Amino acid sequence: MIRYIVAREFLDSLESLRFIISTVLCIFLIVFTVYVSTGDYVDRLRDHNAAVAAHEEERMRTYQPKIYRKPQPLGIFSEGVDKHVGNMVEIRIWESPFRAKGYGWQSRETEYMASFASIDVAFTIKFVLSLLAIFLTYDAVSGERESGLLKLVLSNSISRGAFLIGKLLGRLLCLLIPLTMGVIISLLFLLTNPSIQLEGADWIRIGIFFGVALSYVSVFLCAGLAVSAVARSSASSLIILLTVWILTIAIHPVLSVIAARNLHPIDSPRTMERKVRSIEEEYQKRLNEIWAIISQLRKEGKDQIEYVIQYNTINMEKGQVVDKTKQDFLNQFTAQASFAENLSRLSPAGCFSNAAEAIVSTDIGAYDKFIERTRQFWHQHVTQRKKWEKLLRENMEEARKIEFPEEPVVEYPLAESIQRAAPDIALLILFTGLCFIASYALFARCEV
Amino acid sequence: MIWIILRKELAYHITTARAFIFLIISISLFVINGLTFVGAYKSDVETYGDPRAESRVGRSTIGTALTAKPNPLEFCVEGNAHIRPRMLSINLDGTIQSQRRSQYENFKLPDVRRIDWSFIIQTIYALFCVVLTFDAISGERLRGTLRLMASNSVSRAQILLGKYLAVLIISLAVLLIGGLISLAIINLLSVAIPMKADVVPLLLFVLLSMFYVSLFVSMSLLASSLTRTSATALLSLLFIVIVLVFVVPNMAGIIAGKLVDAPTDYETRARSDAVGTEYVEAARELRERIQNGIIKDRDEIVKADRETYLRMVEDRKQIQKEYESGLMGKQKMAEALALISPSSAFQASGESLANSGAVFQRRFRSAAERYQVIYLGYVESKVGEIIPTWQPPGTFRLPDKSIINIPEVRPKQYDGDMSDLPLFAYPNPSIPERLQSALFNTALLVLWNVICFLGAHIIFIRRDI
Repeated sequence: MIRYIVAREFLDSLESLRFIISTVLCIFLIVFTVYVSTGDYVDRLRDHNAAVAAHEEERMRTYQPKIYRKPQPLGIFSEGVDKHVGNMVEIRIWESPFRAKGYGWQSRETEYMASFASIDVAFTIKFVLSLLAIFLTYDAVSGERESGLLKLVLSNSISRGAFLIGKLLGRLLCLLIPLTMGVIISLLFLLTNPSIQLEGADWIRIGIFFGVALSYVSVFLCAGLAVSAVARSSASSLIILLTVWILTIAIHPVLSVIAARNLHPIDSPRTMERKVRSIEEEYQKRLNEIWAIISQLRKEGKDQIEYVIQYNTINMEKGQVVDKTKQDFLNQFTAQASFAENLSRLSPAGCFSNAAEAIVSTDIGAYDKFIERTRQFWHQHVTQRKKWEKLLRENMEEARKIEFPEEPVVEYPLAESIQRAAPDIALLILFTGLCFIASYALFARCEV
Repeated sequence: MIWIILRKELAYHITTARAFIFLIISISLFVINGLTFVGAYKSDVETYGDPRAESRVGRSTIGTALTAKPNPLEFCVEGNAHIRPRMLSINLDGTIQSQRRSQYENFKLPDVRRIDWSFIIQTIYALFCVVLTFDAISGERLRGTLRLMASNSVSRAQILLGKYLAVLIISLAVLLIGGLISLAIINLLSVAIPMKADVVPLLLFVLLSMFYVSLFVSMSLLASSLTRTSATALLSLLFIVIVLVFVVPNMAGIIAGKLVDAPTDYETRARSDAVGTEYVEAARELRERIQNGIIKDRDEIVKADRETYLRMVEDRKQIQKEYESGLMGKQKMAEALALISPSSAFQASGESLANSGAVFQRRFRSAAERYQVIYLGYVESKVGEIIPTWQPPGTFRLPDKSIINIPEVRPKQYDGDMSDLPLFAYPNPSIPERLQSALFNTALLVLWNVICFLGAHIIFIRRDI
């Protein structure tokens, strides 16, 4: 019996104008954003490769370590923070890595294009597909009740539970069409571009992304059924669902960040700057004195190596002491951001965004790993550099034997991405389950 | 007769759940707006100074910085001020650089739009005006009450106008309630806003909001007149709202990026680095020429060295200029494309009235450029000559092994009295100037309104009820 209901619901929804318009809009947006994002990714990859090649050449002349963060190819599905945080860290002995340079903070583009956000596949799913889910279900029960069909259907040998499951599955199958088409189109753009190479793990990521998106729209399908079961009329059902939709999609993400800033305050930027400056000032006096000696010796054409070594050593010491304070700042940032992330999980839209970004490795967790790795490298580099500077005075031969660590290439294994996405995926499944249970409970008790 | 219809409509709407939900959500958001604005404003005043105080310019002849004062109307139209740079450096080499925001701001928090009045009106009010009006005609037609109403001595135009005005009055009432609550919170938490000078722009913004809201009411009446069922009207309107409010404004930036060929951040840095490499090469050639005895005179060496350095500075300046010009072109294109959406037109008009956002960014920059001319003239009068940029010291070895030390070249700092340093004319346009700046975008909104209302009128008159 469920099969017949599923088939009927599927065909009914397929023929409806709302489905056609939503699907067209969805496909148009996905095609457009994927086209632009792919081009943008190729440009960023080209810039990245050029920067790495230029750095290799530069290393022959002067060793100034730089660590680059490769753009993620699956960022076309969910851009995350990939374009907003930096993509390069320059290793300087006097300053531990704190923020990457490049996009976002250091880019002038942010200043001019501040009024314009960007759209990716996840945005289209979050906004348009969820709305389509609401459009397909707001009158699923109330509409049939109003037309009198519900009584006829339930007068047959079909339970309310089977009826509801049939409705859910029929409409879910319908939603699979724009979702699947969207993902296939995105894949076509990726595969037909010679600059983009997908590995085995990437395919698994795409599969998980698809599953997460399905789970997300299921939440709205079940919520739509629940409200439709209990609302007096289809119009009331739609209004309630729209209110929930706007609060969940547009308002809640903003509120969670505002709440995090106010309920989990951290040191202000000014306070942080003051703390760092007060430590640096202590060292700067000594550094200035030594620099004055170096300048004088240079003018006189005398050997300055001993003072240069002393200068570098104090600089490194300064960097290491300031690093402890900077680590504290980073911990504060992480704590506040985690608080905001936890608040965002109250909404399925927040869970979907977090999960999608984690799966394609464009989330802040991936960036944190990059920064953490560069900081580890910096500590290793400074340790070796100190040994080298010391041996330079005492034993040149031994100094030449000192090995410096290789610049790391930071990878993002699939297992780590899944681990970061797991809580949000679990919550999405929980939301779907709760909404379905609510819809069943409400439908079981409502008048037909 | 229209007053009877208006009263009837008002009484109907006030008793519906949707109006109640609209009021609750609106008030909640205005409360959040008030609370969050106070915290952000106090922090900005602490960092950047009181907006009531005179604009201070750093008393220095080696460059100065201009600061954008906190804007008391940011609770109304914030214009992404939290992302835009607040300080501009005026340099002696003729460049103006925006100062980056502190690296110690929490970049791990998602960058979200602030809840200002403009955001509330663009999203919530647009949506709820649609929700209040979508069944104004189609609903009554289905119930049969439209025929009864039209059978009285009341014209269709009056029916339409009565329905239109009712929703507009309700929206205005909700806006005034929410707005006053927000202002009360702001003032209770010891921030005296709005100041006297801000009252008129604030009232103008409320009027602008009514144009925006009225557009969606007209659109809803049009859809309601056109469609047979209320559900169809509502669905079509929701699509239109989603596209106009959420999709078009964001797509404009993406399309502009494709249409305007602006250099990327990386390309600009790479070109700048290449200029640096050329300078190193030129310096090496200079040393060779000195070693080969082609240049012997000390003054000639100093001059050649200085010229090489200044050429590098000039080339880098040119590269930056091209980069900024590209970005400005991209921004203008994006803003022009976004005007397809009434939401963007509303935002742009709001920024003009409140002197915030991209509009303020351009005004601030223009004012800084004008001030730079005055400042450079002042510096020249005080120190005699302008040294555009610092050059590090250098050492050249002559063929006879003797060394020429070239000292660093620094811009000169004047030690005397600088109390006559000209003040910076902070961009605070008058009301007529703000209105002029908002005119085009407001006219677009009015045009949209006229089209939609006329459309609704024509359709309603010709349709069978």
